[in-house]
Amino acid sequence: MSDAFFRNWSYALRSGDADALLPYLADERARQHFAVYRNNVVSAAIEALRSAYPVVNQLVGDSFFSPMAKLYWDEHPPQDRSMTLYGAGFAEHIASYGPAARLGYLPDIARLDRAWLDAHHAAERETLSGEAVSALPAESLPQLSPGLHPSVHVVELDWPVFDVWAAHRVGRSITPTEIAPGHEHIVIWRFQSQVKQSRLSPAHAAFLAAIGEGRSLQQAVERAAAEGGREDPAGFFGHALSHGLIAAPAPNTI
Amino acid sequence: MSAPDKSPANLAATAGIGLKPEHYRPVLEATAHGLWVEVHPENYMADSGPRLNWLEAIRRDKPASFHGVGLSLGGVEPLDKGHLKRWKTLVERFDPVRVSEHLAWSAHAGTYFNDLLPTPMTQAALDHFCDHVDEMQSVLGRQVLVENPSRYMPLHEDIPEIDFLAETVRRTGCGLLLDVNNVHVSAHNLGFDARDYLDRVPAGAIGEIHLAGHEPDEGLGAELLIDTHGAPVSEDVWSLLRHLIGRIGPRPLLIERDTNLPPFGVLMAERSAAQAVLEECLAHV
Repeated sequence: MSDAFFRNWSYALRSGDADALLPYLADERARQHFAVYRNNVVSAAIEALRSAYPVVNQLVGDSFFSPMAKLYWDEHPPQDRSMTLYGAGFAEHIASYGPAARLGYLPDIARLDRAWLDAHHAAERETLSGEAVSALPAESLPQLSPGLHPSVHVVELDWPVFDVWAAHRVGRSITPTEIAPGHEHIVIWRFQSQVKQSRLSPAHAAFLAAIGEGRSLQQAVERAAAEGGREDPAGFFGHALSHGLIAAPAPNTI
Repeated sequence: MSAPDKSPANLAATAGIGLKPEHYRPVLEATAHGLWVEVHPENYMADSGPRLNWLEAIRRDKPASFHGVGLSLGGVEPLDKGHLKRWKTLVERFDPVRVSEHLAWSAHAGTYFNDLLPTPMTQAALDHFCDHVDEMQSVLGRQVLVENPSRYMPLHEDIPEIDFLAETVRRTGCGLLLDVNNVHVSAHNLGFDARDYLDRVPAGAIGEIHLAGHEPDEGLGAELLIDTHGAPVSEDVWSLLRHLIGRIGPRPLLIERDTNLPPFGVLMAERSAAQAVLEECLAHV
């Protein structure tokens, strides 16, 4: 069995041109049956993207989504044998997809869908509890660098589409008319087996992002202050602890 | 050739269903006698998350089998070691009652096609395929069942499919997952006799049977049947199943349904019909 068989089949599957298969067919009339394989391969990729980006699909409809997804598959075919996380670059693809140019907010919708998917499938890890923090010597807290739970995604949007997106996630349809560019900070994470989402102030987003980079609490508070945060950082940290955003540090780092 | 370290776990010859996320809760709560489930391990290869939690909860009181679609055993390239490692992690965690893959390929030169593509039944392909089955069995420490493909195009080949499979069993000690719908679809599309095929399968190697629905091609109509897993099992396939069971006796039997998913009760009614075929056979022994 030569490699050429698989090379030619791969070419035919990618291009849709079945001529390269003719040498392998015992009956050339079956050439048109090749469409079964080609359709399976293309539609498997499109449907994986549709299911990974449900709000994008709801907003633009199946007939707009499918060719946009097909072009993504043309440029970025799957490599991983699990399709669960296929399409990591889809938001960037949408941003450069001509027919979506008038939907400037659509890449941000895709970023939120992606953060939801990644949060849903992220690794499990113990979270840091308020009780555990209370048990630590107070003077050690500023230097604590706990990190975020692996499911936490802090997303900065260029269009304020969080409400539109969140409504669609629960089956309510809001058509995004008259949206002007504007920043929003969002956190999406998994807590008690459910994916949660919440809007953040710029200061709190900076605080969480710093924790996520492995910074200490003191550095995170400084980052939040630099964003003009006047909110009580201790209060927000307590909130983050009780909602499972903060990872329990490895035992030897406490 | 390496013999599998572990024979297939004990699974009664009862009927199960392919597990879909839409049915997690009803499956968890179902009390039907002998119900078991099957999953594609590729759908459980995320780091964590609710899917894995559901499978863990269901696995506590129901047998679960793993049916892979991504290893590309019928390809020419070495197996994807990372994928095989994730397989092994899942096998160790869930202790599946059956482990199966396909006589097909699904990836080449770094691209994963996510479809079961036809392996030409040649001597060279047989050598590669047996090496790959050996490797899968040896890494997982399990006997693997290999499933017969659905076929849509006649290729230049020198070994009949059933002989290709029988020889793989002989060389590797693997078992067979006999998909009766695939036999029907391939026989129709390629023009061979489905009953003759079923009569030639080595009975002792069959560790599991699949049943599913097919549909005519949208463009070509009944000339080409497609294995869509999107319709009820056809009367032709039920008839082939009774013929097969009459010859080999009952086996664990699975209803696969992946698209046009019906309500749970409808799927379970089809499962009961399969269970009835198995019980009828036992009553005549």
